[in-house]
Amino acid sequence: MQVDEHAHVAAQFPDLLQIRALTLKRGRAAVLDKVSLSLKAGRTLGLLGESGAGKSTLAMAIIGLLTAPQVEIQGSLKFADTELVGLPEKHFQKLRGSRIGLIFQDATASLDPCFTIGQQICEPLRRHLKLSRKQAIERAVELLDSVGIPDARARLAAFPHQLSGGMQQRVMISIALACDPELLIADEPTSALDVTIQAQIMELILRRVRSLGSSAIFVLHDLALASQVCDDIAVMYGGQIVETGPADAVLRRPLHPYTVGLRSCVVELDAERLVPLPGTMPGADQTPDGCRFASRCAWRQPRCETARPPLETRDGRLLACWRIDEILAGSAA
Amino acid sequence: MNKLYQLNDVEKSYTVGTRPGKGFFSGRTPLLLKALDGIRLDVEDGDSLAIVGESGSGKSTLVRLMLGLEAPSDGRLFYQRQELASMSAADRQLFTREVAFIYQDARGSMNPRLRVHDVLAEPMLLHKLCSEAQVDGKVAELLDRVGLAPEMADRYPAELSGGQVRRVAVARALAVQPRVIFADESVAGLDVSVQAQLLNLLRDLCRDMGLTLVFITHDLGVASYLCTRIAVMYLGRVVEEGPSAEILAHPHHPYTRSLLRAFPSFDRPLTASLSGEIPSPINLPAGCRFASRCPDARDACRVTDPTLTQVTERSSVACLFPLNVPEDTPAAGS
Repeated sequence: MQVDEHAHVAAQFPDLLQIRALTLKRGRAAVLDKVSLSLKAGRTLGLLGESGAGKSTLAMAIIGLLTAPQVEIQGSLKFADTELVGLPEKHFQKLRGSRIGLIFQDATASLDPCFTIGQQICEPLRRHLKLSRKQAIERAVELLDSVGIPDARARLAAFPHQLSGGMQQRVMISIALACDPELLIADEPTSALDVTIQAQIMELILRRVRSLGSSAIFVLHDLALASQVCDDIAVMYGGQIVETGPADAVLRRPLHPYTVGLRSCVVELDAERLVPLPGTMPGADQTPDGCRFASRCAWRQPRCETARPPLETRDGRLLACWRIDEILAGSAA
Repeated sequence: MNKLYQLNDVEKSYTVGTRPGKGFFSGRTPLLLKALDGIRLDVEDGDSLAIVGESGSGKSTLVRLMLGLEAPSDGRLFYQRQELASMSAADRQLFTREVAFIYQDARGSMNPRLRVHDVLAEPMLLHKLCSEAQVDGKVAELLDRVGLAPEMADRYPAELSGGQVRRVAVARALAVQPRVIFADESVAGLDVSVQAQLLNLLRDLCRDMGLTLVFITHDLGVASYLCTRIAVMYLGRVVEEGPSAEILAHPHHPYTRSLLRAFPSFDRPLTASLSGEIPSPINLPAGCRFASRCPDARDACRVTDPTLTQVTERSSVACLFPLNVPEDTPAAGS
């Protein structure tokens, strides 16, 4: 990921998040299989892939919502200088909501219906920042104001059901960003919203993340949206990363056959004929020995079905494909 | 061509409460929510029409009216020159066979205790489209048509994936040999790969079988991919209507232009083209309903309520100052 114009800036910052060979198993099924990724401070990363690819699982693992004994975790997950694998829940509670902010897809389900918006925004402020009641309320008004909720002071007394979906998502954002987190994790933050509201919310998240100098991980299924909001992209398939690099390279000129396939499924305004990917992703319990994408891949060779391709640097990004050199030669010709 | 549907100034309002009247003895006057207001729309045989708009624009209400699930409060709604409200029982039964609906929540629209076979067989037997003996063959035929394996017939809806359930929903709609298919957000919330498969399936089915399609969506990309015509709705009104290609290339209404700009694209930076949300349909502002969010609103817009008028040969728009100069298209404008 060191090949873009931000390279010299990025080099000054250490990795905020470093994932090394993270494997997560539910029973015998490897939901994440040797995932390695790093995220620099101040960058935004998009996790892309179909349902079941492991995007949300990875996000949940980072925030410690999936831990032993429900799952078996191997490898390393380093946030700043804290090792998150095996971190006791007590320590996670100090990270969540203060240094790592979370936004989930379904704001209606994430907000507690029994508490007012004000109570829910003040909770992290009082707990993590140790603000007094009064200070917390003042800060909550500022936060709601900053996410574009009109008449913020009056809205503090509102219950979640009194707000529209877009407004609820704005409240979620203000809670997630209440304590100026270093890392924001947003799991499909706008897929339940209208396109016009989606653009507003995404612009808002980006503006706030940039002004705090924080990093963000977006779990997305919309490739076009990802190209608009992410600096870097990691494409996941069957619990593995198949292609990762700067968004410009990965989405404008995808090279891995899976990324190419995903890209051709995107409905653009002038789409002539969509070319759907054939077949479906194998479940986590039926993992082939070789490349997991092999069964759906047009470039499949006998080798692909026996050995897993390593992630290698090609053309300014990391790729896991045995036939990448032939694909590169073909795209150059 | 034969006009299948004809909507003349259709209006639908709901009473959502009361407020005190003006005088002491005047009692309380009802508070009306105008979900649809002055809808004028034609659907021709073999047409494919996308109804596009944000949540709260009245798309789903319009479809409920067109399906005959609710009667309009005012205006007239014709299906094949017959008014829906005054149809005879026999005609009504024919109508329910000719018009099929694919629900947004495909899984929720199926009886969880029925196997796929029975889900598909029920409407055929109900409308006496085939005998008990023929039904197995018909079910297999339907499954094949939507690209599902024949053994799927023995599954329960809960055992199917999201994409498979929607295919069964499409098959069930086809089971009654309809003339029109209504589909409400039928590809929302699916993976892009599954969505692409379903879109291709719907498009091919409609083209091959000559079906009329009315597709409700908030995604302009999906709308233009499936349909030849688009009707853009805002706050219970159709604000722009015309051929898909023209609407995408040269939107005439500022709202359509904003929708297009908000559509995620690989070649454009993220733009929040519209601020605020769709206002409440209970207290409708005077003048143009979009004026409160319109970037180009002028004083006249807050006074005069524009009506849907023809601007080019095939498209009409409800705007006092319609856009159609090439500079205003999103391709050149942003």
